[in-house]
Amino acid sequence: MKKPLIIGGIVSVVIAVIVASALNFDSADTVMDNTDPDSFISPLSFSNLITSDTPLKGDPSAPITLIEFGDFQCPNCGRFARNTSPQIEASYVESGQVSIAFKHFPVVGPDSKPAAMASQCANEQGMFWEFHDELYNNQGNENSGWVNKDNLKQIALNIGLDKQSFDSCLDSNKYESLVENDLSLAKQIKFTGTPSFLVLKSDGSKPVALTGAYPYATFQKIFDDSLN
Amino acid sequence: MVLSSFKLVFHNKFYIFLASIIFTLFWITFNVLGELLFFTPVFVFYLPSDAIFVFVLSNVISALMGIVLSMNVYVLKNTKTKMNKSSFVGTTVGMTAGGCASCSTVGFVLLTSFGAAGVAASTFLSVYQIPLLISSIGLLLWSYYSIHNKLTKNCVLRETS
Repeated sequence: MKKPLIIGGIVSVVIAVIVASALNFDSADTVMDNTDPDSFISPLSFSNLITSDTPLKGDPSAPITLIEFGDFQCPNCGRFARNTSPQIEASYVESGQVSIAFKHFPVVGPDSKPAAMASQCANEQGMFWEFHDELYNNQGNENSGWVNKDNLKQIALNIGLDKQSFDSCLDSNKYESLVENDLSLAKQIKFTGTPSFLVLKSDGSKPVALTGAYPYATFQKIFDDSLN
Repeated sequence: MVLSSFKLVFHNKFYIFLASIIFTLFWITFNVLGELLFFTPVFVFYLPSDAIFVFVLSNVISALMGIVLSMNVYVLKNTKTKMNKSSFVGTTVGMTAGGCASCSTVGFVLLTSFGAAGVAASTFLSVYQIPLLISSIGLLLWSYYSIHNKLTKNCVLRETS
């Protein structure tokens, strides 16, 4: 008679662990304590996060900056780019309240880094966001070769980038160290997946970190709280 | 009729309650892992067009899990037969394929801890997510059929010539 109770107990514990893990996964948003002098993101280091090589959309002096740490091969990054980002742009970026920056977190597979480097080569010609949108709107399966170097060069050509300088930039791995630095930064922040986000006020206070393809409603709440 | 065992088990309200709890827990888990349901900083559920098919499949799996696991509990309490293994396999396959493997925390652990093998595993889970979910539904349906046989054919005597 005890056997059903034992198995029932085991099943309950397994389900509880699964649900607890899922809830823990969801609670990946935190307000970070940047009063700690060892914090990676003190007001002093804020300006270091957005450099001249960081692709930025919107008013650079906007009161809030949303920094996405993404991978061009990640389906959920694609979901954010296609569904959530346009709503943020229409409501907050166009009005000058928020600017969006992109940093690289290439973890999905071997082609992720070349894709990241290629986007920086497009940025060099002032077409990062066009290249970004082209990749996410035509995203293939992970590690299927859709962002190998040959395809990246073809995509660049399709959107009107200068072929010679783009190919030269990509073949020379010019932005390898920049991509590596972004990756190190994401790991330093202890992000555990893509896409991840930092929501920063211009004074660097109370940054909010998020991991996951959160919908527009979440960003709306965070932005409105910060703006008010 | 395969529904006779369903009626036999869910005639008791306790099993309806148990199935509802299991369905709810798995529904929440699938949708949190699939990044459709968020509890913080605001409670929000959203269903982008690219996620509709996986959402429908995960709902079917959650419902089947509620039914099959509750029927397994009924079998354990009322007969001397063992729990059905295919329901465990179906549950595991469904859970594994449930979230976007490479983007979720689970996928990230695979990628960062197991190098090339992790990339291969994560890619497989992500690319074959829909076939795996459909396989899981198949296993759970097979499990249901097995339980149905246990509940309805235990006492049938075979005729010998």
